[in-house]
Amino acid sequence: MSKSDTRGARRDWSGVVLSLPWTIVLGVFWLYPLVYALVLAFARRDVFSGEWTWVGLANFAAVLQNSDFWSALGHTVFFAAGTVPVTTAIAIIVALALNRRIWGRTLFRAGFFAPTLTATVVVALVFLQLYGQNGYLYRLAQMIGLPVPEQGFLLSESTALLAVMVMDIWVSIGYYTLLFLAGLQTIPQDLIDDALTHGANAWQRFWAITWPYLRPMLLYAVVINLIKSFQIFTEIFVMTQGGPVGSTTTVVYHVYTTGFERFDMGYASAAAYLLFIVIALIALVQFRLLSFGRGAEE
Amino acid sequence: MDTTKSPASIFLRLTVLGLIAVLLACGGCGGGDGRQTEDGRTIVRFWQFWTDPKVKDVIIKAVEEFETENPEYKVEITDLTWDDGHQKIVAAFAGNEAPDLLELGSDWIAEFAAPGALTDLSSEYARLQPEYIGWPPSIYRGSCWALPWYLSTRVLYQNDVIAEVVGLRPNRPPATWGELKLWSRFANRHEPQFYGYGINAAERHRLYKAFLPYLWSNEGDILEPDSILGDQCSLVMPEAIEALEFFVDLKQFGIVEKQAVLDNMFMSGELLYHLSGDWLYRRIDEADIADFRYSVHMLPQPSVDRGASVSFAGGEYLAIPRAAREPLGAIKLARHLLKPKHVFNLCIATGCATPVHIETGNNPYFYEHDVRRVFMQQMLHAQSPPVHPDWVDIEKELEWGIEQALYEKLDPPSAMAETCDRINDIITKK
Repeated sequence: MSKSDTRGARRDWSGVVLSLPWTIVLGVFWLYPLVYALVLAFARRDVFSGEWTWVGLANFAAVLQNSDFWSALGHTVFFAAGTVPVTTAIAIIVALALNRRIWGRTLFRAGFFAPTLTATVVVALVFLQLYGQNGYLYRLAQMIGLPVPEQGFLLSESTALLAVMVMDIWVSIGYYTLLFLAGLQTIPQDLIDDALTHGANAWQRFWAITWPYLRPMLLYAVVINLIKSFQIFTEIFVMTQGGPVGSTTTVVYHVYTTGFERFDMGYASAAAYLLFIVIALIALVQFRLLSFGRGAEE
Repeated sequence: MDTTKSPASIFLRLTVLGLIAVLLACGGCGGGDGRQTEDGRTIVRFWQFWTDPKVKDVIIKAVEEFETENPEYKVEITDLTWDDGHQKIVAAFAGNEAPDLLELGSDWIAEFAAPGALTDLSSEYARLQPEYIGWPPSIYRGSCWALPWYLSTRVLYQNDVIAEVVGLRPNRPPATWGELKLWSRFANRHEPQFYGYGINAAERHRLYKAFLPYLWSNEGDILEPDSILGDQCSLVMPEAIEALEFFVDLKQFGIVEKQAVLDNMFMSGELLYHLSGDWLYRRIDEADIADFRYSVHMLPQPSVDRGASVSFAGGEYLAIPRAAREPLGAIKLARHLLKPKHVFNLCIATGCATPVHIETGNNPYFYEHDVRRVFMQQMLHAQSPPVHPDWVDIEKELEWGIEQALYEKLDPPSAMAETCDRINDIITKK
């Protein structure tokens, strides 16, 4: 073996060794639980004795036959369908506003981003108070004559999920605004100046210049927000615990209660994998829809 | 021979050495079994739920006294919370990392005893039973699996100021369901308006405790033994349906809220009647609210000539996991915590009005106090949920049924019928 070959081999090993810490973390804390959950989805495991029984697809069948799962999926889809478009639209509007030279721009940027930096549990606890019968939001809604549920927003079946959605939108706007602001910063000033010279109005400038430049960021923002929305858990755990009458039970909360309260880990793993498939399919469709026509524009 | 090393090569070697050092260090960390302190004392791991500094202080003092009396032991206390304590305990059992001594809620004992996760404490029961109360939840299949440590029940709190304002006599509390409803209506129709009765909202582990007193007072029950099928749900019986109908009916004169909010509303003078535990009178005493007068009473019974006043009995129990590494230290610590003076101190700190030690209950501190005396009387007429290994699941379905009726998704007979189907499913599957 020549000297250069030996050096090459060393270089190969150094790559392996240097990536080892991350690989170990990835393997132990990410891949192992992922594979373990997949195996669990095909088994029943007694939590006390540790005994395993292979049940094939029975857990998946149980999930699909359980009306609670479908109800939870319905709430999750409703949550995602309500929060993702509203958050995206508001974030784009705010980003466009903050991209202009306005007084106190930095202060506004920091203000919109502040909720994102606050722990979800803290925000949820604050909103828990705001939504209660003695909370400011409840009293404010009463004062301005809005119809309010007798038991407070979070204890009424018709408003509980909506209340959580409003909070989620409020928390999320800052982060997505920041993403869209970053997208807006990539637009060359020459293009805008040219458009202005040619007499393009604001609406024409938005569709001809801003929108195509924002599109990649929009795709990223929508996919990320959608995945996050489908995984909604902390807010539900802190604010409603799935109630009232199961009206805020989402899929991940359903997985949590079956897995960690009833300790039916096989069922919980199967439900989690079904959710994974749903998210993957929706993300795929989004990629197709939002990237449609991109090639032609480019 | 070229002895010079490139920076990359040096870095590579250092990385490998570092990794080896970390692995060795980790091996060292995990290698010990953690059963002894550096000075050779045996570690007893104690998991408990009291996190209120005032109560925790009492526990710590009792433990310190134990360590002084038993210098061979060092107690490590781990705090659990009611929100996720159950999950942590099950995870610990599953991971073979159970503590030596464990505080358990009264309705969890059968769940852990059934799969053999607890140590049989029947010999302790034989020794302590004449002097202590609260044993029924700890007896499962003829054996005792935990020792009663703290007991509590719920009584009817009445805001005496509101009672006077709406024209009621504070010293004449409602004795029947009819009076409770009628007088709640008085408060609700009065100007200024008050809430007549506080009903627990959809709140896990609490809603069923608010309903069961009505079920039991009306001579209903959750399960009844069947000679062929074993335990079967009995919530479809007329007594249970009537109790749920009454419970739901109270909503029109009251408010549906979470327990903590109802407690606050009672203290702020918005609520005439409220079913609550001993923690509330302790809070009221500590708050020292101006112009606030209240009294506590036994729960009303369905009618003068029918039913009884039966409340919910719950409590905290000390159990020793079967996988405990120091069962001897654990039993010694449990005996120490159950000494009359520690039981008394725990009661003073928590506001507990019903000590587990019979002789301690004869202390004037309990029976000469207007509020504590009522709690003690009610405890004599209090019942615990069935001792069943699937109680946690049964409880969830029971709360589901109550919610369905409370939120008018189903009428009470249908809600109870569907709840029974779900409960029977659980029992049959297992």
